[in-house]
Amino acid sequence: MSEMDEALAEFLIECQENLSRMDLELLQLEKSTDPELVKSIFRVMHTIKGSAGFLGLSKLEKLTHAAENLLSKIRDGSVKPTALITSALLSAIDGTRVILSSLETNQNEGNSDSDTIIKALNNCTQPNVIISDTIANTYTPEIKPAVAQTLVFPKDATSSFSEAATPVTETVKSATLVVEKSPAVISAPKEKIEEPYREVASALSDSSVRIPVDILDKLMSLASELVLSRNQLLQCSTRLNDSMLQVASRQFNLVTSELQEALMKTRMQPISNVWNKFPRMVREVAFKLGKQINLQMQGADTELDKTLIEAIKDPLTHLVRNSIDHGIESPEVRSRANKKPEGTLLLRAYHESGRVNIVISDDGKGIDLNRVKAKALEKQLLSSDQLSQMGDNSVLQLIFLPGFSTAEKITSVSGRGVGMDVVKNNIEKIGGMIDIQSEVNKGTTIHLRIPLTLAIIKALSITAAGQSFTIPQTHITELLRLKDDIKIGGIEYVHETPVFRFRGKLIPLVNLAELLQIKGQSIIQAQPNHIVILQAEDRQFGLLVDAVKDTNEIVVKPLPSRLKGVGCFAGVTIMGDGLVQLILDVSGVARLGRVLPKIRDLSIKDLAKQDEILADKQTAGEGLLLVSAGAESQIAIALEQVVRLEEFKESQLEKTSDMSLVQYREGIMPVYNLGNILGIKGGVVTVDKARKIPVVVHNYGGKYVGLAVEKILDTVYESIKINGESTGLGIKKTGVVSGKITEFVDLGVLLASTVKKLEVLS
Amino acid sequence: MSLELSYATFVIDGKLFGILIQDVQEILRPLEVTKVPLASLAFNGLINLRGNIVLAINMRQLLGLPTLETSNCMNIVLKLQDEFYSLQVDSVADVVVVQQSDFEIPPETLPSETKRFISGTYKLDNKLLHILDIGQILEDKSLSHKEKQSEVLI
Repeated sequence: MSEMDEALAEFLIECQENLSRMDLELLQLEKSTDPELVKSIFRVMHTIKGSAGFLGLSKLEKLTHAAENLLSKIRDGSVKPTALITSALLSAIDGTRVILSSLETNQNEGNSDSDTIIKALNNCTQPNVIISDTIANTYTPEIKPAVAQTLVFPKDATSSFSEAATPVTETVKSATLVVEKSPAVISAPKEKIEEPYREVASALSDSSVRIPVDILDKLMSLASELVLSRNQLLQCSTRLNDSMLQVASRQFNLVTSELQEALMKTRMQPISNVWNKFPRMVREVAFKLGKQINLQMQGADTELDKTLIEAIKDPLTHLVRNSIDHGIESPEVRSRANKKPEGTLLLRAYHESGRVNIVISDDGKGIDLNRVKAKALEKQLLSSDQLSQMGDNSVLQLIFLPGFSTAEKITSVSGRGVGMDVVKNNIEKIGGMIDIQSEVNKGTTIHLRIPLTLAIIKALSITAAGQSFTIPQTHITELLRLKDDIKIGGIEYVHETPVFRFRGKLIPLVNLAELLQIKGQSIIQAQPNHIVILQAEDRQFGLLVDAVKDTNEIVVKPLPSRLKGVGCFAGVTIMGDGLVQLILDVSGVARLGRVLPKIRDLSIKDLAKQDEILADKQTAGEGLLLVSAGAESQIAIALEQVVRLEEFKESQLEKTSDMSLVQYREGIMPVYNLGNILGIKGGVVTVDKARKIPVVVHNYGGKYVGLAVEKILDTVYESIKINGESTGLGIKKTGVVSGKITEFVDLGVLLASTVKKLEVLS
Repeated sequence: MSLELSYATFVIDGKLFGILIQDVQEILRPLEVTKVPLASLAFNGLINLRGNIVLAINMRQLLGLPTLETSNCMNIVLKLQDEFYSLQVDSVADVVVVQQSDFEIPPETLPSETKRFISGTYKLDNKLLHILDIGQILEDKSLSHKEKQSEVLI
């Protein structure tokens, strides 16, 4: 069965269910005028129309469209539901059935005449029109031949159908709108009509059953429980060495695996299930907007979990629409920009690093950052100050804010300002990530990374400081064991950073136990001597672990929401011994270990906090200079308080009682020993003649003041949560930067208290 | 006629605490816990409860009481917003039926780290029963990971 056929089959099953329900509801409608009932019928009709449109069933679409029109009139009260109208609607349902059964048997809509039904429906929408003739016509001759042509019914059924239909004609023809009487009369033929159709429909409905996803979920978790029991049983059976038990447990093992596999399959669906509707949608939207678009799809057979398919459906549709509407220009504009008049929209899906990646890229006009900024200002989402401090990437992230739309005018397609924020929310809700890259005139690429939650993956168990962790095998390139006695090929150091020669290249090493700050329980600390070479996005790095255990097929369970913030765990799994084990998020580990740059993710919540953060600029998100003032201390100074970093030879410094003076920029600059001021133990900068002393130059009330430090460590740009109290004068707060306790120094305050003599100098 | 309420009670650091019996999913013997590095100290770790992942909350840590080295904590399992949590307590006591008229709001002088989790106190015959505010516990900021890092390091 081709994909289209599958979609069609699904549609047929769905329609059969809906139509039977609609029959009942229509009949109820004659008795009561419950607005909810009308709405429900309208919805069903609308759904069928929509699906018919998307499957390209034009005849069915026309018919249902007419019915929908009439229903909408009833819904808004401009037409009162009379028996005649009900009959017209019922005839529409029957017409739909005829088309559907033709579809099922002949794969085409058949040549039954639906025009008269449509005419009847349209007539009904005009109040006070005598419609008896059309209804009458609809009922008798048109449907009968259609049925005869397309279906093989038991003869009596067909004849009873046409016979039964006749009384209706008569009733209607007499044009007495006796509402009390008509339901019975009209429903009589209907029931008879329904019978034969049901038989036809059953053939397909029987081959598939609709199951609520939560039952599947339940089955899944039961199956994984079963796997655990199996593992325990296997362990027992090997220990007991009973041949009978072993045979039985082996069989059990096999069945369990198969069960699990089969259950998995029930949930996996190719992404083409979502993509299939795109060609038509793209064509239509492009046509409406007068654009030419070549839609390319790669990796349509990439499978992912059903719940994920459902979850990405709307976001994807939105992104595709966005690309067509905002991204790709009209042919004229494209020609002017020396591009092919036909724009390209590429959808790509692939598995990578244990995630499903979906890339939507267009070669359109890209996102104009200036316009994004202007828009943010106009909508008062951010102040110009805040905007000027943002990097290009952060500006780009603004389009994910609620109420943000850069389209100059709202079109029927997009630009209502709801969308990108919803897209981002939906993607993040399923634990995915959305990334946007754009280049003006080159195009925009949106990258979705969807996790494989609820998937069974192959994973490697490792231990670090006595605790076991699991690494998804997709990330692992190689496993290495370090031999103690061989010096070459071992761990080398670039300054204090461990690196490893791997195929002639130096790759950074991350010690897992250190990174996660876990200490071994045993007194004898096992020296990590295994390296797991990992691939995180485009970087390779080595993870130092104590031991490499075995590989397992594991069921990924989502991390409890309260632990998501930790950032280096992708999920959890339950091992054969029944214990929970954490699954490492390799990208997260790489980020934490600073192998990958930390992404400043400007989420909506962050932006809400922006003001607060900016108020405390020194400590959050802005640049910090990290220095050491002896005794392995780490001190952070806000970059904006730093004028320059200089190095002076010891001989350049002229010492006075408690400071040094140095000639600097045609003046004399006092240089203080930062360690001394802060009273760091052993904080005296070690001074030898040859060494140059790094000095942080600060502008203190219009004068330069130098602070001698032991070492300039780094500059960082990161949001730092600060919790610690001030530990001394001039120290604003303490916090953690790059995994080290850091004292945040306010140079102004520090110097004010210590540099009274400064005035004298001037 | 005053309303009667049933509370599952348990002991933490010699004090009697309670939560509404209908909030309790089940009570379990000490279970093996998988530690989560870098997570808040208030989390003891993760427990496997028949295939469900349960996040164990160290009640002593949360309430600012002295923590114990022993891992023999009883588990009061709750299900909130589709996720399982276990309040790890020293020992489990009886189900207590109380009259709502005996309810008192916590004294002003209670230390704030304890006070924010206690919605009030019932006067029992021979002791006091402190009622834990579960919503407050799970919304508490100290359960977000970042705070913890600094707690460890500073």
